[in-house]
Amino acid sequence: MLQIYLPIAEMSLSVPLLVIIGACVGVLSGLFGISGGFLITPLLIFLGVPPPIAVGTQATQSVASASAGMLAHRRSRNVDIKLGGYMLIGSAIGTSIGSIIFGYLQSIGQIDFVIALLYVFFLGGIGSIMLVESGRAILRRRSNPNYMPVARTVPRLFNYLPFKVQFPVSGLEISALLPIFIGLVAGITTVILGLGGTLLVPAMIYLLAMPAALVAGTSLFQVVFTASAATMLQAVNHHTVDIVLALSLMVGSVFGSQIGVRYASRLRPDIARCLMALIILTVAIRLVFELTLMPDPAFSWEVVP
Amino acid sequence: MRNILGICLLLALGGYAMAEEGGIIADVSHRNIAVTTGFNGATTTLFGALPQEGDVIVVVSGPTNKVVVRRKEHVLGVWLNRNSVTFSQVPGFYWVASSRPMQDIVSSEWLAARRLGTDNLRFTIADYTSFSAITDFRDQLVRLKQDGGLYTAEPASVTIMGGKLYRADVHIPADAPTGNYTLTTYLFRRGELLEEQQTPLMLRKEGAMDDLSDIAQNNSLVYALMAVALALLTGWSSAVLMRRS
Repeated sequence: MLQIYLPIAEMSLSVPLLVIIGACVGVLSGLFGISGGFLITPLLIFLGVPPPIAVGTQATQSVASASAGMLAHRRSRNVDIKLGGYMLIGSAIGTSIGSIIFGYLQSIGQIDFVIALLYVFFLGGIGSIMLVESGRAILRRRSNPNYMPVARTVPRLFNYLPFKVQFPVSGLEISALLPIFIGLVAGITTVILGLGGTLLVPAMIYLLAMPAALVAGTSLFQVVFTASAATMLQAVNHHTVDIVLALSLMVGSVFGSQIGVRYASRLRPDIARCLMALIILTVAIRLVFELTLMPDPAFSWEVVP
Repeated sequence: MRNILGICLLLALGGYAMAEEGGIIADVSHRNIAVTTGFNGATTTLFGALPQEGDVIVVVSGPTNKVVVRRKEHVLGVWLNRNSVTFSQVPGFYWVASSRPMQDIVSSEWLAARRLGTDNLRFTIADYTSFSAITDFRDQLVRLKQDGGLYTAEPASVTIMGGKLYRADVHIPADAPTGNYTLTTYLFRRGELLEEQQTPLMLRKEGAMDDLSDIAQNNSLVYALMAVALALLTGWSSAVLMRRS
Protein backbone atom coordinates (compact mmCIF):
# COMPACT_ATOMS: atom_id res chain seq x y z
CA MET A 1 0.00 0.00 0.00
CA LEU A 2 1.61 3.22 -1.25
CA GLN A 3 5.06 1.73 -1.34
CA ILE A 4 8.20 3.79 -1.70
CA TYR A 5 11.53 2.46 -2.96
CA LEU A 6 14.49 2.99 -0.63
CA PRO A 7 17.58 3.56 -2.80
CA ILE A 8 20.23 2.57 -0.23
CA ALA A 9 18.37 -0.27 1.51
CA GLU A 10 17.33 -1.46 -2.00
CA MET A 11 13.82 -2.51 -1.06
CA SER A 12 10.40 -0.93 -0.81
CA LEU A 13 8.27 -0.18 2.24
CA SER A 14 4.83 1.32 2.88
CA VAL A 15 4.96 5.10 3.42
CA PRO A 16 1.93 5.32 5.78
CA LEU A 17 3.48 2.60 7.96
CA LEU A 18 6.80 4.48 8.19
CA VAL A 19 5.03 7.75 9.00
CA ILE A 20 3.05 6.08 11.80
CA ILE A 21 6.17 4.45 13.26
CA GLY A 22 7.91 7.82 13.12
CA ALA A 23 5.00 9.58 14.81
CA CYS A 24 4.80 7.08 17.71
CA VAL A 25 8.53 7.17 18.38
CA GLY A 26 8.48 10.97 17.99
CA VAL A 27 5.91 11.31 20.79
CA LEU A 28 8.14 9.33 23.17
CA SER A 29 11.15 11.34 22.07
CA GLY A 30 9.47 14.68 22.81
CA LEU A 31 7.97 13.47 26.10
CA PHE A 32 11.10 12.01 27.61
CA GLY A 33 13.99 13.53 25.69
CA ILE A 34 15.29 10.24 24.33
CA SER A 35 16.39 9.73 20.74
CA GLY A 36 14.01 6.85 20.09
CA GLY A 37 16.65 5.07 18.06
CA PHE A 38 16.57 2.02 20.30
CA LEU A 39 12.90 1.59 19.33
CA ILE A 40 13.16 2.41 15.62
CA THR A 41 16.21 0.24 14.90
CA PRO A 42 14.62 -3.12 15.87
CA LEU A 43 11.36 -2.15 14.12
CA LEU A 44 13.19 -1.42 10.86
CA ILE A 45 15.17 -4.65 11.10
CA PHE A 46 11.88 -6.48 11.65
CA LEU A 47 10.55 -4.90 8.43
CA GLY A 48 13.54 -6.33 6.54
CA VAL A 49 15.88 -3.32 6.45
CA PRO A 50 19.51 -4.51 6.63
CA PRO A 51 20.72 -3.89 10.24
CA PRO A 52 23.59 -1.46 9.39
CA ILE A 53 21.18 0.70 7.36
CA ALA A 54 18.59 0.61 10.15
CA VAL A 55 21.24 1.90 12.58
CA GLY A 56 22.59 4.60 10.25
CA THR A 57 19.19 5.88 9.15
CA GLN A 58 17.81 5.94 12.68
CA ALA A 59 20.49 8.51 13.57
CA THR A 60 19.33 10.82 10.76
CA GLN A 61 15.69 10.63 11.78
CA SER A 62 16.74 11.32 15.41
CA VAL A 63 18.31 14.62 14.28
CA ALA A 64 14.92 15.69 12.92
CA SER A 65 12.72 14.59 15.83
CA ALA A 66 15.22 15.87 18.41
CA SER A 67 15.54 19.29 16.75
CA ALA A 68 11.76 19.61 16.45
CA GLY A 69 11.31 18.63 20.11
CA MET A 70 14.19 20.79 21.29
CA LEU A 71 12.77 23.87 19.54
CA ALA A 72 9.36 23.21 21.11
CA HIS A 73 10.94 22.89 24.57
CA ARG A 74 12.95 26.05 23.96
CA ARG A 75 9.78 28.03 23.36
CA SER A 76 8.90 27.40 27.00
CA ARG A 77 12.54 28.07 28.01
CA ASN A 78 13.09 24.46 29.01
CA VAL A 79 16.54 23.95 27.51
CA ASP A 80 19.73 24.60 29.46
CA ILE A 81 22.13 25.26 26.61
CA LYS A 82 25.11 26.00 28.86
CA LEU A 83 24.79 22.70 30.70
CA GLY A 84 24.10 20.88 27.44
CA GLY A 85 27.27 22.43 26.03
CA TYR A 86 29.40 21.04 28.87
CA MET A 87 27.87 17.61 28.34
CA LEU A 88 28.67 17.87 24.64
CA ILE A 89 32.36 18.39 25.42
CA GLY A 90 32.22 15.16 27.41
CA SER A 91 30.39 13.22 24.76
CA ALA A 92 32.86 14.32 22.07
CA ILE A 93 35.68 12.80 24.15
CA GLY A 94 33.49 9.79 25.08
CA THR A 95 32.71 9.03 21.45
CA SER A 96 36.41 8.86 20.60
CA ILE A 97 37.17 6.64 23.61
CA GLY A 98 34.14 4.51 22.70
CA SER A 99 35.43 3.91 19.17
CA ILE A 100 38.78 2.73 20.57
CA ILE A 101 37.07 0.33 22.99
CA PHE A 102 34.72 -0.85 20.24
CA GLY A 103 37.67 -1.54 17.92
CA TYR A 104 39.46 -3.46 20.69
CA LEU A 105 36.40 -5.60 21.50
CA GLN A 106 35.95 -6.29 17.81
CA SER A 107 39.58 -7.39 17.47
CA ILE A 108 39.26 -9.94 20.30
CA GLY A 109 35.96 -11.12 18.80
CA GLN A 110 33.80 -11.12 21.94
CA ILE A 111 31.85 -8.04 21.02
CA ASP A 112 28.37 -9.55 20.82
CA PHE A 113 28.62 -11.06 24.25
CA VAL A 114 30.03 -7.92 25.88
CA ILE A 115 27.45 -5.69 24.22
CA ALA A 116 24.59 -7.95 25.28
CA LEU A 117 25.80 -8.11 28.88
CA LEU A 118 26.43 -4.36 29.15
CA TYR A 119 23.06 -3.61 27.61
CA VAL A 120 21.12 -5.78 30.04
CA PHE A 121 23.24 -4.54 32.95
CA PHE A 122 22.90 -0.82 32.17
CA LEU A 123 19.27 -0.75 31.09
CA GLY A 124 18.06 -3.33 33.59
CA GLY A 125 19.89 -1.66 36.48
CA ILE A 126 18.93 1.91 35.71
CA GLY A 127 15.36 0.95 34.77
CA SER A 128 14.82 -0.93 38.04
CA ILE A 129 16.27 1.83 40.22
CA MET A 130 14.12 4.43 38.48
CA LEU A 131 11.01 2.28 38.74
CA VAL A 132 11.44 1.75 42.48
CA GLU A 133 12.21 5.40 43.15
CA SER A 134 9.36 6.81 41.06
CA GLY A 135 6.92 4.16 42.29
CA ARG A 136 7.64 5.18 45.88
CA ALA A 137 7.22 8.85 45.03
CA ILE A 138 3.84 8.17 43.39
CA LEU A 139 2.62 6.09 46.36
CA ARG A 140 3.72 8.75 48.83
CA ARG A 141 1.86 11.41 46.89
CA ARG A 142 -1.26 9.24 46.67
CA SER A 143 -1.39 8.42 50.37
CA ASN A 144 -0.81 12.00 51.45
CA PRO A 145 -2.42 14.64 49.20
CA ASN A 146 -0.57 17.46 50.98
CA TYR A 147 2.80 15.84 50.47
CA MET A 148 5.29 18.08 48.70
CA PRO A 149 8.27 16.26 47.25
CA VAL A 150 11.56 17.48 48.67
CA ALA A 151 13.64 19.23 46.05
CA ARG A 152 16.18 16.79 44.69
CA THR A 153 19.78 17.74 45.39
CA VAL A 154 23.10 16.77 43.91
CA PRO A 155 24.62 13.85 45.86
CA ARG A 156 26.71 15.47 48.59
CA LEU A 157 29.97 13.88 47.52
CA PHE A 158 29.82 15.85 44.28
CA ASN A 159 29.98 19.14 46.21
CA TYR A 160 33.67 18.52 46.89
CA LEU A 161 34.54 18.44 43.19
CA PRO A 162 36.55 21.43 41.89
CA PHE A 163 35.76 23.81 38.95
CA LYS A 164 32.36 25.00 40.21
CA VAL A 165 30.27 26.65 37.50
CA GLN A 166 26.91 28.47 37.66
CA PHE A 167 24.10 27.13 35.48
CA PRO A 168 21.48 29.87 35.90
CA VAL A 169 18.77 28.26 33.73
CA SER A 170 18.75 25.10 35.83
CA GLY A 171 19.53 27.03 39.02
CA LEU A 172 22.51 24.80 39.75
CA GLU A 173 26.03 25.51 40.93
CA ILE A 174 27.99 22.35 40.31
CA SER A 175 31.42 21.24 39.23
CA ALA A 176 31.95 21.41 35.48
CA LEU A 177 33.42 17.92 35.73
CA LEU A 178 29.97 16.44 36.43
CA PRO A 179 28.21 17.25 33.14
CA ILE A 180 31.43 16.52 31.26
CA PHE A 181 31.67 13.10 32.92
CA ILE A 182 28.01 12.30 32.20
CA GLY A 183 28.51 13.29 28.57
CA LEU A 184 31.62 11.11 28.49
CA VAL A 185 29.79 8.00 29.71
CA ALA A 186 26.88 8.75 27.35
CA GLY A 187 29.34 9.12 24.47
CA ILE A 188 31.06 5.81 25.20
CA THR A 189 27.76 3.93 25.52
CA THR A 190 26.40 5.57 22.38
CA VAL A 191 29.25 4.19 20.31
CA ILE A 192 29.28 0.74 21.88
CA LEU A 193 25.59 0.22 22.63
CA GLY A 194 23.73 2.87 20.62
CA LEU A 195 22.01 4.08 23.79
CA GLY A 196 22.05 7.80 22.96
CA GLY A 197 19.94 9.91 25.29
CA THR A 198 18.57 6.94 27.18
CA LEU A 199 21.33 7.11 29.78
CA LEU A 200 21.53 10.88 29.75
CA VAL A 201 18.00 11.42 31.06
CA PRO A 202 18.32 9.41 34.31
CA ALA A 203 21.81 10.87 34.84
CA MET A 204 20.45 14.42 34.62
CA ILE A 205 17.59 13.62 36.96
CA TYR A 206 19.50 11.76 39.65
CA LEU A 207 23.12 12.94 39.41
CA LEU A 208 22.67 16.58 38.44
CA ALA A 209 19.30 17.07 40.19
CA MET A 210 18.09 19.18 37.30
CA PRO A 211 14.56 20.57 37.44
CA ALA A 212 12.28 17.98 35.79
CA ALA A 213 10.97 20.41 33.18
CA LEU A 214 14.48 21.03 31.82
CA VAL A 215 15.60 17.42 31.48
CA ALA A 216 13.89 16.42 28.23
CA GLY A 217 14.71 19.62 26.34
CA THR A 218 18.36 19.63 27.42
CA SER A 219 18.70 15.97 26.52
CA LEU A 220 17.21 16.61 23.07
CA PHE A 221 19.62 19.54 22.60
CA GLN A 222 22.40 17.03 23.17
CA VAL A 223 20.84 14.42 20.86
CA VAL A 224 20.68 16.92 17.95
CA PHE A 225 24.48 17.13 17.98
CA THR A 226 25.36 13.51 18.76
CA ALA A 227 22.88 12.16 16.20
CA SER A 228 24.21 14.61 13.57
CA ALA A 229 27.74 13.37 14.26
CA ALA A 230 26.53 9.76 14.08
CA THR A 231 24.82 10.46 10.73
CA MET A 232 28.03 11.97 9.33
CA LEU A 233 30.13 9.01 10.50
CA GLN A 234 27.69 6.39 9.22
CA ALA A 235 27.15 8.06 5.85
CA VAL A 236 30.83 8.80 5.17
CA ASN A 237 32.40 5.60 6.49
CA HIS A 238 29.76 2.97 5.82
CA HIS A 239 27.25 4.48 3.32
CA THR A 240 24.46 3.22 5.55
CA VAL A 241 22.13 6.25 5.62
CA ASP A 242 19.01 5.95 3.47
CA ILE A 243 17.69 9.49 2.97
CA VAL A 244 14.35 8.33 1.57
CA LEU A 245 13.77 6.05 4.56
CA ALA A 246 14.90 8.77 6.98
CA LEU A 247 12.61 11.33 5.37
CA SER A 248 9.57 9.01 5.54
CA LEU A 249 10.19 8.46 9.26
CA MET A 250 10.88 12.15 9.92
CA VAL A 251 7.61 13.35 8.43
CA GLY A 252 5.81 11.61 11.28
CA SER A 253 8.40 11.98 14.02
CA VAL A 254 8.83 15.77 13.92
CA PHE A 255 5.13 16.30 14.61
CA GLY A 256 4.96 13.42 17.08
CA SER A 257 7.88 14.92 18.93
CA GLN A 258 6.16 18.28 19.38
CA ILE A 259 2.95 16.62 20.51
CA GLY A 260 5.08 14.79 23.07
CA VAL A 261 6.53 18.09 24.28
CA ARG A 262 3.02 19.52 24.79
CA TYR A 263 2.09 16.61 27.01
CA ALA A 264 5.41 16.70 28.84
CA SER A 265 4.37 19.77 30.83
CA ARG A 266 1.08 18.14 31.89
CA LEU A 267 2.73 14.96 33.08
CA ARG A 268 3.66 14.85 36.77
CA PRO A 269 7.45 14.38 37.12
CA ASP A 270 7.12 11.18 39.17
CA ILE A 271 4.78 9.63 36.58
CA ALA A 272 7.13 10.71 33.79
CA ARG A 273 10.05 9.00 35.58
CA CYS A 274 7.95 5.89 36.10
CA LEU A 275 6.99 5.69 32.40
CA MET A 276 10.59 6.29 31.36
CA ALA A 277 11.65 3.47 33.70
CA LEU A 278 9.09 1.17 32.08
CA ILE A 279 10.36 1.99 28.59
CA ILE A 280 13.96 1.29 29.63
CA LEU A 281 12.94 -1.97 31.31
CA THR A 282 10.90 -3.06 28.27
CA VAL A 283 13.96 -2.68 26.06
CA ALA A 284 16.08 -4.62 28.56
CA ILE A 285 13.50 -7.41 28.88
CA ARG A 286 13.13 -7.65 25.11
CA LEU A 287 16.88 -8.17 24.87
CA VAL A 288 16.85 -10.80 27.63
CA PHE A 289 14.20 -12.71 25.68
CA GLU A 290 16.13 -12.31 22.45
CA LEU A 291 19.22 -13.71 24.16
CA THR A 292 17.65 -16.62 26.00
CA LEU A 293 14.89 -17.88 23.69
CA MET A 294 15.90 -20.22 20.90
CA PRO A 295 16.25 -18.14 17.76
CA ASP A 296 14.23 -19.05 14.69
CA PRO A 297 15.83 -19.09 12.22
CA ALA A 298 19.20 -19.54 13.88
CA PHE A 299 20.92 -18.45 10.67
CA SER A 300 21.10 -14.99 9.17
CA TRP A 301 22.88 -13.53 6.19
CA GLU A 302 24.18 -10.14 5.25
CA VAL A 303 25.93 -8.73 2.18
CA VAL A 304 29.47 -7.62 3.04
CA PRO A 305 31.69 -5.34 0.94
CA MET B 1 -0.04 -6.67 -20.26
CA ARG B 2 -1.94 -8.29 -23.10
CA ASN B 3 -0.46 -5.71 -25.48
CA ILE B 4 3.06 -6.41 -24.35
CA LEU B 5 2.53 -10.10 -24.76
CA GLY B 6 1.12 -9.55 -28.23
CA ILE B 7 4.19 -7.61 -29.25
CA CYS B 8 6.43 -10.24 -27.71
CA LEU B 9 4.81 -13.06 -29.61
CA LEU B 10 4.91 -11.04 -32.81
CA LEU B 11 8.62 -10.42 -32.33
CA ALA B 12 9.18 -14.04 -31.53
CA LEU B 13 7.30 -15.12 -34.60
CA GLY B 14 9.33 -12.66 -36.65
CA GLY B 15 12.47 -14.36 -35.47
CA TYR B 16 10.98 -17.76 -36.06
CA ALA B 17 11.96 -17.85 -39.72
CA MET B 18 15.59 -17.12 -38.86
CA ALA B 19 15.50 -19.66 -36.08
CA GLU B 20 15.01 -22.37 -38.68
CA GLU B 21 18.69 -22.30 -39.60
CA GLY B 22 20.11 -20.36 -36.59
CA GLY B 23 19.95 -21.03 -32.88
CA ILE B 24 17.66 -20.06 -30.04
CA ILE B 25 16.20 -16.59 -30.25
CA ALA B 26 15.60 -15.39 -26.75
CA ASP B 27 14.34 -12.06 -25.46
CA VAL B 28 12.62 -10.39 -22.54
CA SER B 29 9.67 -8.02 -22.49
CA HIS B 30 11.78 -5.51 -20.52
CA ARG B 31 15.53 -5.64 -21.01
CA ASN B 32 15.93 -2.61 -18.75
CA ILE B 33 13.78 -2.65 -15.67
CA ALA B 34 13.72 0.86 -14.24
CA VAL B 35 13.79 1.14 -10.46
CA THR B 36 12.05 4.40 -9.65
CA THR B 37 10.43 5.85 -6.51
CA GLY B 38 7.34 3.67 -6.85
CA PHE B 39 9.19 0.43 -7.72
CA ASN B 40 7.66 -2.53 -5.93
CA GLY B 41 9.04 -5.46 -7.88
CA ALA B 42 8.52 -6.26 -11.55
CA THR B 43 7.21 -9.12 -13.63
CA THR B 44 8.83 -9.59 -16.98
CA THR B 45 8.10 -12.09 -19.72
CA LEU B 46 10.87 -14.21 -21.16
CA PHE B 47 10.11 -15.55 -24.60
CA GLY B 48 11.73 -16.78 -27.75
CA ALA B 49 11.84 -19.24 -30.60
CA LEU B 50 13.60 -22.60 -30.69
CA PRO B 51 15.43 -23.92 -33.78
CA GLN B 52 13.82 -27.31 -33.20
CA GLU B 53 11.53 -29.07 -30.78
CA GLY B 54 12.90 -29.96 -27.40
CA ASP B 55 12.89 -29.19 -23.68
CA VAL B 56 13.74 -25.78 -22.29
CA ILE B 57 15.28 -24.63 -19.05
CA VAL B 58 15.67 -20.90 -18.43
CA VAL B 59 17.69 -19.33 -15.62
CA VAL B 60 17.70 -15.70 -14.51
CA SER B 61 20.68 -14.92 -12.33
CA GLY B 62 21.31 -11.60 -10.58
CA PRO B 63 24.53 -9.73 -9.74
CA THR B 64 26.83 -11.58 -7.33
CA ASN B 65 27.90 -10.42 -3.87
CA LYS B 66 29.99 -11.47 -0.94
CA VAL B 67 27.68 -12.73 1.79
CA VAL B 68 28.38 -13.63 5.40
CA VAL B 69 26.15 -16.29 6.97
CA ARG B 70 26.03 -16.37 10.76
CA ARG B 71 24.65 -18.94 13.14
CA LYS B 72 23.36 -18.23 16.64
CA GLU B 73 24.61 -20.76 19.16
CA HIS B 74 23.86 -21.40 22.82
CA VAL B 75 26.84 -20.20 24.88
CA LEU B 76 26.76 -19.70 28.66
CA GLY B 77 22.97 -19.68 28.61
CA VAL B 78 22.54 -17.08 25.88
CA TRP B 79 22.15 -17.26 22.10
CA LEU B 80 24.88 -15.41 20.27
CA ASN B 81 26.28 -15.31 16.78
CA ARG B 82 29.29 -17.62 16.97
CA ASN B 83 30.28 -19.37 13.78
CA SER B 84 30.13 -17.72 10.40
CA VAL B 85 31.01 -18.58 6.83
CA THR B 86 31.63 -15.97 4.16
CA PHE B 87 30.76 -16.90 0.61
CA SER B 88 31.66 -14.90 -2.47
CA GLN B 89 30.05 -15.10 -5.90
CA VAL B 90 26.59 -15.45 -4.36
CA PRO B 91 23.91 -14.42 -6.85
CA GLY B 92 21.57 -11.87 -5.33
CA PHE B 93 18.73 -13.38 -7.30
CA TYR B 94 18.34 -16.82 -8.85
CA TRP B 95 15.30 -18.08 -10.71
CA VAL B 96 14.81 -21.26 -12.74
CA ALA B 97 11.96 -22.43 -14.95
CA SER B 98 11.64 -25.54 -17.06
CA SER B 99 9.20 -26.95 -19.60
CA ARG B 100 9.10 -30.33 -17.78
CA PRO B 101 10.45 -31.43 -14.38
CA MET B 102 14.20 -30.83 -14.64
CA GLN B 103 15.18 -34.42 -13.76
CA ASP B 104 13.09 -35.62 -16.75
CA ILE B 105 14.91 -33.25 -19.11
CA VAL B 106 18.51 -34.05 -18.26
CA SER B 107 20.41 -36.20 -15.75
CA SER B 108 20.87 -34.82 -12.26
CA GLU B 109 24.64 -35.43 -12.60
CA TRP B 110 24.74 -33.07 -15.54
CA LEU B 111 22.70 -30.47 -13.62
CA ALA B 112 25.02 -30.78 -10.64
CA ALA B 113 28.14 -30.50 -12.82
CA ARG B 114 26.79 -27.40 -14.51
CA ARG B 115 25.56 -26.00 -11.17
CA LEU B 116 22.15 -25.55 -12.68
CA GLY B 117 19.15 -25.27 -10.39
CA THR B 118 18.82 -23.80 -6.91
CA ASP B 119 19.92 -27.02 -5.19
CA ASN B 120 23.06 -27.21 -7.30
CA LEU B 121 24.29 -23.68 -6.64
CA ARG B 122 27.83 -23.65 -5.29
CA PHE B 123 29.45 -20.55 -3.88
CA THR B 124 33.12 -19.72 -3.45
CA ILE B 125 34.19 -19.92 0.19
CA ALA B 126 35.93 -16.72 1.21
CA ASP B 127 36.25 -17.27 4.94
CA TYR B 128 35.00 -19.64 7.64
CA THR B 129 35.25 -20.32 11.37
CA SER B 130 34.27 -23.97 11.21
CA PHE B 131 35.19 -26.09 8.22
CA SER B 132 32.77 -28.94 8.92
CA ALA B 133 29.79 -26.58 8.95
CA ILE B 134 30.29 -25.08 5.49
CA THR B 135 27.76 -27.28 3.66
CA ASP B 136 25.14 -26.63 6.30
CA PHE B 137 25.73 -22.88 6.10
CA ARG B 138 25.38 -23.00 2.30
CA ASP B 139 22.10 -24.92 2.53
CA GLN B 140 20.75 -22.50 5.11
CA LEU B 141 21.71 -19.49 2.99
CA VAL B 142 19.85 -20.97 0.03
CA ARG B 143 16.84 -21.70 2.23
CA LEU B 144 16.74 -18.19 3.68
CA LYS B 145 16.98 -16.71 0.17
CA GLN B 146 14.15 -19.02 -0.95
CA ASP B 147 12.01 -17.91 1.99
CA GLY B 148 12.69 -14.30 1.04
CA GLY B 149 11.61 -14.92 -2.57
CA LEU B 150 15.08 -14.22 -3.96
CA TYR B 151 15.73 -17.82 -5.06
CA THR B 152 13.15 -20.16 -6.59
CA ALA B 153 12.09 -22.99 -4.33
CA GLU B 154 10.37 -25.02 -7.06
CA PRO B 155 11.24 -24.39 -10.72
CA ALA B 156 8.59 -22.27 -12.44
CA SER B 157 7.11 -23.44 -15.72
CA VAL B 158 8.09 -22.66 -19.28
CA THR B 159 5.23 -22.91 -21.75
CA ILE B 160 6.11 -24.23 -25.18
CA MET B 161 3.66 -23.33 -27.94
CA GLY B 162 3.53 -25.17 -31.23
CA GLY B 163 6.76 -26.91 -30.38
CA LYS B 164 8.89 -23.91 -31.24
CA LEU B 165 7.78 -20.86 -29.30
CA TYR B 166 8.28 -20.62 -25.58
CA ARG B 167 7.52 -18.18 -22.83
CA ALA B 168 7.79 -17.82 -19.05
CA ASP B 169 7.06 -15.07 -16.54
CA VAL B 170 9.64 -14.09 -13.97
CA HIS B 171 8.85 -11.95 -10.96
CA ILE B 172 11.71 -9.89 -9.58
CA PRO B 173 10.89 -8.69 -6.04
CA ALA B 174 11.54 -5.12 -4.84
CA ASP B 175 14.44 -6.19 -2.62
CA ALA B 176 16.34 -7.93 -5.43
CA PRO B 177 19.71 -6.26 -5.98
CA THR B 178 20.11 -3.78 -8.81
CA GLY B 179 22.67 -4.44 -11.51
CA ASN B 180 23.29 -6.76 -14.42
CA TYR B 181 21.23 -9.91 -14.66
CA THR B 182 21.77 -12.75 -17.10
CA LEU B 183 19.05 -14.76 -18.70
CA THR B 184 20.36 -18.12 -19.90
CA THR B 185 18.20 -20.32 -22.11
CA TYR B 186 19.09 -24.02 -22.49
CA LEU B 187 17.61 -26.26 -25.15
CA PHE B 188 17.68 -30.02 -24.60
CA ARG B 189 16.61 -32.95 -26.71
CA ARG B 190 16.55 -36.52 -25.45
CA GLY B 191 18.64 -35.61 -22.42
CA GLU B 192 21.37 -33.86 -24.43
CA LEU B 193 22.13 -30.14 -24.38
CA LEU B 194 21.70 -28.83 -27.92
CA GLU B 195 22.28 -25.19 -27.31
CA GLU B 196 22.44 -22.46 -24.74
CA GLN B 197 22.14 -18.74 -25.08
CA GLN B 198 22.67 -15.76 -22.83
CA THR B 199 20.68 -12.55 -22.91
CA PRO B 200 21.50 -9.57 -20.68
CA LEU B 201 18.85 -8.08 -18.47
CA MET B 202 19.25 -5.05 -16.28
CA LEU B 203 17.64 -3.79 -13.11
CA ARG B 204 18.70 -0.18 -12.84
CA LYS B 205 17.87 2.67 -10.50
CA GLU B 206 16.70 5.65 -12.49
CA GLY B 207 16.05 9.31 -11.86
CA ALA B 208 16.20 10.42 -8.23
CA MET B 209 16.88 6.86 -6.98
CA ASP B 210 19.96 6.63 -9.19
CA ASP B 211 21.19 10.11 -8.25
CA LEU B 212 20.82 9.47 -4.52
CA SER B 213 22.67 6.17 -4.46
CA ASP B 214 25.35 7.63 -6.73
CA ILE B 215 25.93 10.55 -4.35
CA ALA B 216 25.84 8.22 -1.32
CA GLN B 217 28.60 6.08 -2.84
CA ASN B 218 30.79 8.60 -4.60
CA ASN B 219 30.25 11.85 -2.70
CA SER B 220 29.54 10.51 0.74
CA LEU B 221 30.50 13.75 2.51
CA VAL B 222 28.03 15.74 0.40
CA TYR B 223 25.41 13.04 1.03
CA ALA B 224 26.06 13.11 4.79
CA LEU B 225 25.72 16.90 4.89
CA MET B 226 22.54 16.65 2.82
CA ALA B 227 21.07 14.13 5.27
CA VAL B 228 21.86 16.25 8.33
CA ALA B 229 20.63 19.45 6.64
CA LEU B 230 17.42 17.74 5.56
CA ALA B 231 16.81 16.45 9.09
CA LEU B 232 17.46 19.86 10.69
CA LEU B 233 15.30 21.59 8.10
CA THR B 234 12.43 19.15 8.65
CA GLY B 235 12.69 19.56 12.41
CA TRP B 236 12.86 23.33 12.22
CA SER B 237 10.06 23.78 9.68
CA SER B 238 7.75 21.51 11.67
CA ALA B 239 8.40 23.68 14.74
CA VAL B 240 7.52 26.80 12.75
CA LEU B 241 4.35 25.13 11.40
CA MET B 242 3.20 23.95 14.81
CA ARG B 243 3.76 27.41 16.32
CA ARG B 244 1.57 29.03 13.65
CA SER B 245 -1.29 26.63 14.18
